[in-house]
Amino acid sequence: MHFSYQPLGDSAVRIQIADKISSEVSQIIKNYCNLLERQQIKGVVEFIPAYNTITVFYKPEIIQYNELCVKLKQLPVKGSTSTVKTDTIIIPVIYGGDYGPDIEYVAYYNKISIDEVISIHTKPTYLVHAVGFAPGFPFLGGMSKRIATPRLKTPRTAVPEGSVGIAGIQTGIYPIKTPGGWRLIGRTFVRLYNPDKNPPTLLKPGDYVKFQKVKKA
Amino acid sequence: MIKKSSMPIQNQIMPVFEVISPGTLTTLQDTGRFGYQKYGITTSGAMDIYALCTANMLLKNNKTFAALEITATGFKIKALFKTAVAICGADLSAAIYDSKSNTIKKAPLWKSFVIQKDQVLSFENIVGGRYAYLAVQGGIYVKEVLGSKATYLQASLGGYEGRALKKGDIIYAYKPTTTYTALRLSPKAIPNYKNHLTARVILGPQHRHFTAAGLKTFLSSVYTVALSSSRMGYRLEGAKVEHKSPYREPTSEATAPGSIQVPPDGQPIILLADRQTIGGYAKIATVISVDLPAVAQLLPKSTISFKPVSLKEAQKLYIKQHRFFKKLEIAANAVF
Repeated sequence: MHFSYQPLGDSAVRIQIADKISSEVSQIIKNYCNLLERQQIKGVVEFIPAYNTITVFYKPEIIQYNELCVKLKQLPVKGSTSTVKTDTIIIPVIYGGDYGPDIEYVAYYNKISIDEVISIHTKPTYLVHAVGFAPGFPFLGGMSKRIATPRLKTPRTAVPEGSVGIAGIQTGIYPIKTPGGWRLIGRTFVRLYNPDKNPPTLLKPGDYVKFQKVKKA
Repeated sequence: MIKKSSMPIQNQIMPVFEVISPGTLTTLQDTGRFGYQKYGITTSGAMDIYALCTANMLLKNNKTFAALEITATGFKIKALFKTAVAICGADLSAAIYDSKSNTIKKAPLWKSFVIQKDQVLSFENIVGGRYAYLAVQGGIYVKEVLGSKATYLQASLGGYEGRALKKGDIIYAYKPTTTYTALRLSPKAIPNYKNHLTARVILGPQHRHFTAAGLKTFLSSVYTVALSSSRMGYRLEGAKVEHKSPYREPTSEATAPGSIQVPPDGQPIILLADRQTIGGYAKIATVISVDLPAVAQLLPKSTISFKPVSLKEAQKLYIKQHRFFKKLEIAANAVF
């Protein structure tokens, strides 16, 4: 497989796996990360997988750019091995009401009913392409364009923890209370970030997620 | 160095300071939290790693130990025991007040010294630089979270319950295992914080998202550090860096400390200690590691310009600094 390698500053290398985003690319990234984890190249500190890139952080006093690239290129990275689906993590969501104040707007904007928004949102199995922005925040792929809605013009100063939102064709879950401009359609009480646990987040890149509609007790 | 011991932690630590006034923003920082960026947990750590490491080494501490990162004015602490400390980084006109003799004297910078029980150490006003580091002989103690003592405020993680220091906090330190020696850093190794900096950068990885004119603007203009700058990053104001048209948002991917991202408004942002791990703006360049401390020490309204260097040159400078630290460590531990 041919990947492209580029420096990101003097202590990181950015590896581009493909131009496009797909579940196959995600599978290659997952395999690549597993190899990095297993091979423990001396001087490598950690790595961040994303949609179609992996960025590897290293210590130049131990290994330098060219030598690291040679070692990385030797990793026996395999392609999508008949995409073995890992367990799907179910996220129960209370849709609408106070928990999803923007669901009416999402319905109105897409000229569908609120029930349709919920059934479209709960239908796919979403792939976690990356975790970042905030601790445990998943970048999910696979949302239907039929519920795509632009971000708020002015972001909320505080979005409650567990809020499920839509921004353009993306959907995600806020693991901590933070300012944010996504349209909020519901909330989950599943904890996505817990610093007392290791790993500290529920979701990892490569996981699959499905939303399940639940009623407020 | 702290030796691994089966002794209960309360026998290995002692209270050294009480916080009288927390000041503008004081947090506990070390050299950072590594291994969790793939979960969205950024490294945090000292904004000025050079000053943090130096402060530790002047006390014969391991250079990665946690120290207090103090910014702007108003931080004031009272010593609960006779304690050896070192202050490095910004000059915030630290002063030692002795209530018994009712006298006040200037606290030294880039030099270890002893503060007596009941003396008060205060940081009065900004003379030069932005972040000062107060290290304590033996190292400041808090429980580690995910392998580090660094505070990550947005995630309420690490340090003192994930927050900035507040009035009444008691600062604990490990009981020293080394003998104290008054040490000072050689004057030629002491940085001189000015109100303009030329930072060296490695171009890319998304410099091709910009027009040739945009790239030229970036490398030839003087930018002003905005007031809204924080530990997350420094926003810059100045000549607009032109993106290629039509604007194409890159696929979100990892950022690095020092990465300079340019949003559609053309105003660069330098990402620093508490940066987001993944970002969706094009990165025009990354500040080289050895220049990051000087960037961090820029006060709002200071100016900055950028000069490209090769990766080879950047890594040569990095290794040179690493060797300097090694030498300093050996020298500090050679004196009794």
